[in-house]
Amino acid sequence: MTHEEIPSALIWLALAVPGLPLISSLVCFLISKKFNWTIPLLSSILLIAATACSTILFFQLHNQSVIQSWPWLAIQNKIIHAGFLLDSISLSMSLAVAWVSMLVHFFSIGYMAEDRAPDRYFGMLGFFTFAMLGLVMSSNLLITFFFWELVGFSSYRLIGHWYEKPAAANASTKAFLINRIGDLGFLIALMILWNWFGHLDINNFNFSAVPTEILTAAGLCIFIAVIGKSAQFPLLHWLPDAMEGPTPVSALIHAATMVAAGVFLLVRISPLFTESALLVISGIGAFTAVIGAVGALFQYDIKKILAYSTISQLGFMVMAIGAGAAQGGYLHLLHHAFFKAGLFLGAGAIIHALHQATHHSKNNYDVQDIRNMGGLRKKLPVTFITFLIFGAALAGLPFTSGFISKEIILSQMSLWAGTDVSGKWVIMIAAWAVTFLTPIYIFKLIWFVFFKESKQETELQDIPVIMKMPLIILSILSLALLLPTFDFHFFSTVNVILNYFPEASISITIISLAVISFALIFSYLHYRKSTPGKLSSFLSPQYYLDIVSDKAVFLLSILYTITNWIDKHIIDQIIHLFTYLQVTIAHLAGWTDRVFIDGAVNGAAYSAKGIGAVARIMINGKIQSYLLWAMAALLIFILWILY
Amino acid sequence: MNDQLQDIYQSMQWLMPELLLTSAILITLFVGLFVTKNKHILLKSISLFVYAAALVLVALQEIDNPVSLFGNMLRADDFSNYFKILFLTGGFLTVWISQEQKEKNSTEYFILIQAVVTGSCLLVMSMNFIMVVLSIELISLSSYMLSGFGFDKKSAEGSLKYFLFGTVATACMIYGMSLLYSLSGTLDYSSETFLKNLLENTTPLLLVGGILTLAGFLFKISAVPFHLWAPDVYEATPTPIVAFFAVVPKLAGLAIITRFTLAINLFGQSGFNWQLIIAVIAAMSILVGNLSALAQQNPKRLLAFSSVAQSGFMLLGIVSFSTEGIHFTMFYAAVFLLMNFLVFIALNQIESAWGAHLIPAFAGTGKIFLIPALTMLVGLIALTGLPPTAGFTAKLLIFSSLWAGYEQSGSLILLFVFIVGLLNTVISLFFYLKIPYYQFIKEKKRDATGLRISFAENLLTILLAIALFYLFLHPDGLMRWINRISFVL
Repeated sequence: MTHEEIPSALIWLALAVPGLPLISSLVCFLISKKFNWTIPLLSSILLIAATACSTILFFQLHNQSVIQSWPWLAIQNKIIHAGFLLDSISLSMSLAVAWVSMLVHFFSIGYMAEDRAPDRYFGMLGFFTFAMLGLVMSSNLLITFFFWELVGFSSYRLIGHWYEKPAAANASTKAFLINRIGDLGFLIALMILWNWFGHLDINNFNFSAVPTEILTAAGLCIFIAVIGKSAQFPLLHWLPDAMEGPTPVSALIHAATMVAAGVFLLVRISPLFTESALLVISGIGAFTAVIGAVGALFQYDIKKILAYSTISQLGFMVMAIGAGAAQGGYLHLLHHAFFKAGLFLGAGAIIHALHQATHHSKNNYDVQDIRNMGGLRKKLPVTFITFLIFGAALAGLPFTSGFISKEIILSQMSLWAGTDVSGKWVIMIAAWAVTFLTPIYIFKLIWFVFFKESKQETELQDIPVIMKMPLIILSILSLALLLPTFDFHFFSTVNVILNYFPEASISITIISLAVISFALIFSYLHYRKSTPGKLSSFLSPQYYLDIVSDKAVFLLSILYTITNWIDKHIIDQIIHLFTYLQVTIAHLAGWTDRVFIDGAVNGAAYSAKGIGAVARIMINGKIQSYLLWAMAALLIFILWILY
Repeated sequence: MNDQLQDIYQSMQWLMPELLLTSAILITLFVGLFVTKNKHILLKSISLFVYAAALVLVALQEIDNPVSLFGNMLRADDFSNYFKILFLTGGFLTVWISQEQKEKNSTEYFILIQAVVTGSCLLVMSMNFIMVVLSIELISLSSYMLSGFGFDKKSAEGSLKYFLFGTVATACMIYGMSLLYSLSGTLDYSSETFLKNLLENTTPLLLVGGILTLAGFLFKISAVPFHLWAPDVYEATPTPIVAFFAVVPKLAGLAIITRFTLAINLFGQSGFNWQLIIAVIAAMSILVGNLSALAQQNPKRLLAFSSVAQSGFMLLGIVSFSTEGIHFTMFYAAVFLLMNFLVFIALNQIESAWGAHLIPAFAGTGKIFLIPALTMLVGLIALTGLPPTAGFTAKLLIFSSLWAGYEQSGSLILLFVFIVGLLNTVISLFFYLKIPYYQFIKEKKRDATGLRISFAENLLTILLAIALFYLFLHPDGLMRWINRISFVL
């Protein structure tokens, strides 16, 4: 594929897409506490601008593939470039990221209205958006890796936004540490690629020149990174825990964008993956998809259900990409971004409303447990209708976006699996199992929340308009009405039509509709009567997985304790720099006073002691100030030698 | 493939002392696991035997020309063997004076000391940045744990501070190394490529990379500005370990600084004035160390600052970038080992018998513990650099190399550090003699019947003191040996 240069006018536009969220983040952190109330507005406005830029860029460049890069640093004669690679994949993904992020910003205005630290919240939200857009648009794998780390960092900060809750603090640690395991894979893959190609420009790899085994190794290492970031088996349990963060964050990061970054990476460098690597990928994806769906069945926490559903859906996409349905998988990624963000925001709206109600009535119960809900259909009508649409999209009902991508995946996969019985059929069966399980758990969720008789008698206030609007926009985007025109930009028109109706598609559609309707009927019959009991948790496979991984996390958490200490005591202490500087100046002034005014009298021994006092201020017993002094001295030293 | 195996096999033969130390770690571990009775004595004897055996092995190695090992990862030469002897002696002395540890921890205690000595031996042989980092980290990580061996709150705090400070220094160093790698394209700092590529390069990055790499080494020798950890760690750590810290890792750091600065100086062709950089660091270390020591009341803190200043003096030998200067530094290193251990051993004896921790509390101890007090006086006079001890000879040699360097190049920096060094020798007199002042001049404040230290225990300090006198009278024996050592980078 040849790449043209970006027209110069568009370069500024491309820079503005990740740049504006970064500015938003800086504004949030730098603004005075007095003006904290302006933060939600300012950052939302900046995000609207970023989204507009991204949308313009998308329509200006559709069906083109352009690249613009600048040399960033050189090691000997090997140059590392930094730049934009804008093609259908990155453009569509950045569009989705910008839109979801913007809507989450809106939603957060209402959801986080009473939060103590809007600067930290919106600042990190903006920073995350910047990092995610950078990840998507980068033309160089090394730069992608940097942003990959930054999204991980902002995810960590946002999960732990309410760090005073031990569960949230632990969850953020868990997410951070588990992602490190995956990142190791990414780094190794980068080293392999660098070793073979001497560069990391995504558009410039010539994979045919490399032995298959090397490619397989590199591909699997990349996949380890994907496993970490996209919560695939066996590194999946951090995602349900990450639900301790604010719900809009879960919608943006742990449903729509960051966790999808893994899947995105698979698509981004798809030529890298050899057949054997793809088989592993599809196998792990299929397994994750099934255990995620089963996990969702066993949960009663509204956010945990959605989290397991996300794991399942991500597994589904990974499986699709491994099983030769890359286009379908990628399309599902985009569709999933909208409807899953919608589901989460819907859940957020429910939690928000119930939280307000319990807060006022002092009737406390777990507002996230769906067994405590019920009958919300009438009380939260907008949430209900939009939630139905999102749920239908998730289940893959006709006329929704989820239906289209799921059909493409299933029909492409059935071509891949072939008619002869082989190992590939196991994966195909897993795909059908997920198709069957998904409607059941989402039906369960909707049934418990909206239809069942309510046990709790609480007066509910409907959510504010600013929170309804994102739900409505997302539900429109989740309907199939708009999407085909939207989708046409991803692939060339002919391709789309061919992909919508491949050979097997009609029969596949019929079978999948039958499976889904059967699942819905089954779950209706099942949940209509059953009283929600507490299923013994050791029945669920998740139970055992968590035990194993808790052990691993314990070891890593020792390391974490130390890093956390540094974080708290050193990063925060930088603010004290000025204080220390002042003290030093005061001491110096005092010293000058003594030495030059009294000093003439008191003689040399006195002055030696005086200098000693200055030297000893540094030794005050605090390690953070030691480090500060050491680094400051080093810096001054370097500058002094240089100039 | 075959060649590589051959290379590895042949390299192994040169590594016998290190292999012995490594296997000693394993043996100590197993003995510690299975033996319960008289564990401390048994482990102590094993350690002492291993150090002695390794000393013999090193002494038996005859190296005419430097031998490159493992694809030039390491290099065996006279220079490294000289330092190895110092490290092994240091390890031997440390184990010798170690008091009984709690049964539970004694295994780790010996293992960690062995690990530091092993790391130091490998560090002086390292020719590759990777190997440098690995050896330094082996030393550092073991040291962090050793410094916590007081098993109280203070010790834990000191250990953690040491660790945090060390981590930052290591981070700086590795960052610096990566910059140098990006400029030179090789990790082997003794190679032609390194020299050639850096000669062509005069960007500030070279300077930044070099200084950041130096930062990691400066931390090891506790030179300014990476000296801040020293007083806290020394204060919190058991005295035998402090003696060990002040010598073995410090001399290892000194050796690697020597190698590294010779490499980065590019035979004087570098676009940057590395002489100035080392000179400033040395002068600052001497100044800050001495001035801060003036007001100390705790003997260990005082010696911590003194060791900062001593690092500065040893760096002065490198400043002139002459073979002669480096030889003098090596002489200083040997003397430093003797005088430092002498002071710490005597201090340890008096401290544990008298139970005092601050200098004024030492009042009158000179009469009770005559021999330890006298030997400590010898050690402190040597540290100050006064005759009739080898400390004087060592300082004299260093200053003479500086003066010679100044006369040759007319460089004002050399003159400047020369003056700073001389002045500070005077200042250091004030604090070094503070402890003997209290011991001998002040009257004792409490009854001390029944407290005495046996002759056997005093034997070691007496031997060390005699060695210091002997080297003052006959430095030529050691100097002749050192003079045979040549550096080929």
